Amino acid sequence: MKIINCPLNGQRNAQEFVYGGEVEPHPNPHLVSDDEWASYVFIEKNLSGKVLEWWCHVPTAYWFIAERDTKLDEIFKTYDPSKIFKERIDFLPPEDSSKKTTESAVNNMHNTDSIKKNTTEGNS
Amino acid sequence: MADVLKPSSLIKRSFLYRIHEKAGGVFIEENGFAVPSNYGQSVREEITLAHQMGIADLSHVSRTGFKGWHAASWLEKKNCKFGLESNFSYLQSTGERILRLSPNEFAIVGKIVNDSDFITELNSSLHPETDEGVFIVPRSDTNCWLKVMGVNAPSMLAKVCAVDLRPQIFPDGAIAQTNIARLNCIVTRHDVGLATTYDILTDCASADYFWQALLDAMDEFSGGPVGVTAVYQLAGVG
Repeated sequence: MKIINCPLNGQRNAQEFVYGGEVEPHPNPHLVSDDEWASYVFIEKNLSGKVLEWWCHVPTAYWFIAERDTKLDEIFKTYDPSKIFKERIDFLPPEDSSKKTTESAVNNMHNTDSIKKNTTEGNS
Repeated sequence: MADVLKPSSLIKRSFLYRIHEKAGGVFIEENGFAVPSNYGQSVREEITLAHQMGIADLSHVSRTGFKGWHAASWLEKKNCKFGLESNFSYLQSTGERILRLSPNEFAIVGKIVNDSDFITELNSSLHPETDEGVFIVPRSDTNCWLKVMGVNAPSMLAKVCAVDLRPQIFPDGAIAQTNIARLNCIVTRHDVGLATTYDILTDCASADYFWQALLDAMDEFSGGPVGVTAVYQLAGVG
C-alpha cells in the first residue's frame, strides 16, 4: 500500500485519496474563448517529470497540493493550497473584471521555475 | 406487565432501531428517541462486556458542525473554547466537546448523559444572512454515532482501520479522520470512566452495514452490543 502524507491528517493509505488534476492558472471564464476554457477544463498536459497536482483526502474532503514525479510516481512534497493561493479570487463579468487570475499566484511560488525546468527536461 | 416501548411509537429513532429490535434491545426514551437500554443482559454483565469489547449506539445524542473561514471566530464569540491544534477534541466546561477537524471546520458533540440544549441553541444562533463565512454542517441528520469500548477495542479496530489507534499512540482526545471498514469516519478517543472508548461518526446511510461490520470484527474478542444504561454507569451516572 502506498502512503501519502496529507498536510492535515498525516500519513494515510493512498486509497483514501483521489487525484484532482494538474495545478495550473485558472483563466477568467468571462475573458477566454470556449476553446481556451475547454482546454483548461479537459486537456491535461500530462508532463513527464516533476509536476504540481491537486489531491483530495476523501474522508475530510480536504484538498491539497502535491509535488509528484510522474516518472518515479513518487510524491516528495505536500502542502496546503494557502501556500500558493493567498486570497479568494472572484471572476467577475467583463465590465467589472479585474482580469485577476491565479497565474500570478502560481508564478509566485518559489520553485515553479525549477519545476518547469525539470518537466521540460523530462519531455526532451 | 409494564408496557414495552416500541421504537416505532416515537417519531425519533436511531438509524439502527431495526437491528436493535432484532438483537433483543429493551428500549427507553432519551431525548425523544427510542434507544436500547440493554440487550436482555443485566447492567453488570453489559458493563463487564463494555470493559472487554462492546459497541453502543449513541445516535440519539445531539451533535452538529460548522465550517467556513470565519467558523473559528464565530464559535469563540459563542464562548466555545478550543486550541489551534486540528484533529483534537476540546472538552467544554459545560460537558460538550468541540472536535476541531481542520483550521476551518468543527464538529460539536453533546454530553452522553444529560444532553443539554447547548447544541440546539448554537444551531439556532447562526444567521446565514449576517454571519458571513460560517456554514452549518447538520451532523445529527447525516452521521450516526457509535461508541466502541473496551481493552480489546484497539485490536479490533486494527483489523478494519489502517491508523494506529492504540492508547499509547492515540491519546484521549485525539481524532483521526480516516477509513474504517472502507467507510469515511471521524474517530475520537473519548474515554469514559476507566474504559478506553472510541466515538465514531460515520454516514448514517451506511449505519446498518457499519454496525454489522464492527460486530463481525469484534466476534473473535467475544464482543457485542451494549445498552445505554451500562454506558451511563461507566460514565459514573445512572
